[in-house]
Amino acid sequence: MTEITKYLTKPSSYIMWILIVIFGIIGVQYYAGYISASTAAIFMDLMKFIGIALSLAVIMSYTGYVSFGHVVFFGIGGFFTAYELSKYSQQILQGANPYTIFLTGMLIGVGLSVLLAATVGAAVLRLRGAFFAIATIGLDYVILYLEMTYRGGAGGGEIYFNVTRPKFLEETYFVFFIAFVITLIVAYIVKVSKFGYGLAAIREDEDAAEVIGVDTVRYKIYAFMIAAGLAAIWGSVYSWRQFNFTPENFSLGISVDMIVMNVIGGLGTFIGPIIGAFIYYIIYRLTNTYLPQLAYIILGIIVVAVVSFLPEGVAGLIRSKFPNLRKYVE
Amino acid sequence: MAERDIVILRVEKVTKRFGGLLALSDVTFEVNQGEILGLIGPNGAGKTTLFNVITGVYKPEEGRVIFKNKDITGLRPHKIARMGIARTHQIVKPFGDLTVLENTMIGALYGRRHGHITEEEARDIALEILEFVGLKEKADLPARILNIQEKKRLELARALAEEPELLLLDEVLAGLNPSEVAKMLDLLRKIRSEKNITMIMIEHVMHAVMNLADRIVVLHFGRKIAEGTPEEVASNPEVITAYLGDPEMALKFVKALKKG
Repeated sequence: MTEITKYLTKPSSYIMWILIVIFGIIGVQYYAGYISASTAAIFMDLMKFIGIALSLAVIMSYTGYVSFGHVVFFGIGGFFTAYELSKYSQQILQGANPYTIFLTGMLIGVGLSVLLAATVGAAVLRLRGAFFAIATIGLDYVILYLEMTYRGGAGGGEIYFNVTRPKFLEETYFVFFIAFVITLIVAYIVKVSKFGYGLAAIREDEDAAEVIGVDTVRYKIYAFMIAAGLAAIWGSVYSWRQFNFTPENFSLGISVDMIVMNVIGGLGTFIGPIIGAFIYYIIYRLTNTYLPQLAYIILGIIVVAVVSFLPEGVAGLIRSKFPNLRKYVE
Repeated sequence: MAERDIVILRVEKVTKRFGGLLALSDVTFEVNQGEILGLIGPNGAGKTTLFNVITGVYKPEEGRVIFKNKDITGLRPHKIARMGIARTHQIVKPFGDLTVLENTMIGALYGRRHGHITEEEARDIALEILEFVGLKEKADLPARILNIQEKKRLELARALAEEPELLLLDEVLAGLNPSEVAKMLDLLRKIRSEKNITMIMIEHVMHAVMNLADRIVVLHFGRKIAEGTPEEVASNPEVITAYLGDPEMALKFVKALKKG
């Protein structure tokens, strides 16, 4: 416990605390009615983008394993949340507390995601580089088509449910906020702990890491499990907000979004995926609003530019240009 | 010295094949506590393969590796590292994006004191080791920008930070210019005198091995063809024949002999 307190008071945690305070204040303002629902929605989207980017970061950016299948865990979290909520919809209408059902669904989704990551990870984490990436695409297809056979809800893998509460949106902001705080703290501690050093060693040279004493097999699986659990939490809260689950929540495009955010922000850092998510979201919103036809073309060009001219991402640029800031930018 | 009679590592009849290639064939030798054992032989003799067998990177088809009376054959490398065997690589493997200090701290965190060491303790050990190897002023630089000589020192620092009892050095002098070789030799002597770590060194710089090693084992095509003090090995006809297959090495060998 003292270890954790120590990590959470390091200078590199300041940015995280500032974010938590800002998003918290916005939530309170929203609840009090000073901020419009559409403005609050922007901050909720931002939290989700940062959350999913950080969830992938644990395995991709910290450990060096690029997973195209990360959306699988997001989808599983969302599926079981929607499944539970639709299964007990009658009880909810009769006054049962939807949050207990929501939490049950989330726990099932997170649990199964972590379990899947442990078992699949034991097999695919033996593969390196492109082979690992391709195997994770396979995983995504298997789970996606499996899910689409589900005929329980609306059919075709779709599930709808209804939760009516007087201040549903305001409450949901805080649901997102709690997921946001959990994700930030977990991802941060993983990064700066001894475990994080081991993961960094694996990313830089896995064989050297093993010979130095890092249990590379176990560490990779642990990282994959943590990454999966965090992604499942976001799938779950996303379903809750949408009142539904559709197979699109398993689409490869979401994995690509997560990867792009990590790349833009800078690999190997905690702050990178956060910066990447901000930039990605801003560009996404602007292009979608003003140049919807060109949105993905512009995003694509930016990705090519970053990879070509800024391979260490924005965080890497800050770290190399401003060495004094290094202790704040982990 | 009495403690030198204690056997710290015993390699027993080790055989390693890669497909049809016999990389190591029935190799047996012992290393005593506190000594420096030179491991020499022409290119392709199986020296690095032997290091890979000792550190658990390869599993031998036959034979055993006994470290401090424990059979460590076939254990995973991280387990062997935690028991107190550290190594450097012939082709350096720094964690490029991490700083020199972080590289060395990882050695301390995951080495022999794994699980019983705090980050602060690891940092202190790392700083002390970096001072020892002469890299302290580079501590906060990313490892990838070091030059080759500094990278070799970093390999050594990372291995020393593990606080090993046995250190395997795979050509730490290769690629260094003569003045750098002299500095590195001083460092190796310092490791021996101040840290009392047992070492096995693979080396092609003959005068260095002849100077530093207490005993030498000679490998040739995966077989041990000689073992003994530097003088004994240097006058062994089979060794000279083996090296004559490699004229450049033979020349070095003869030069080293003359110096000795």
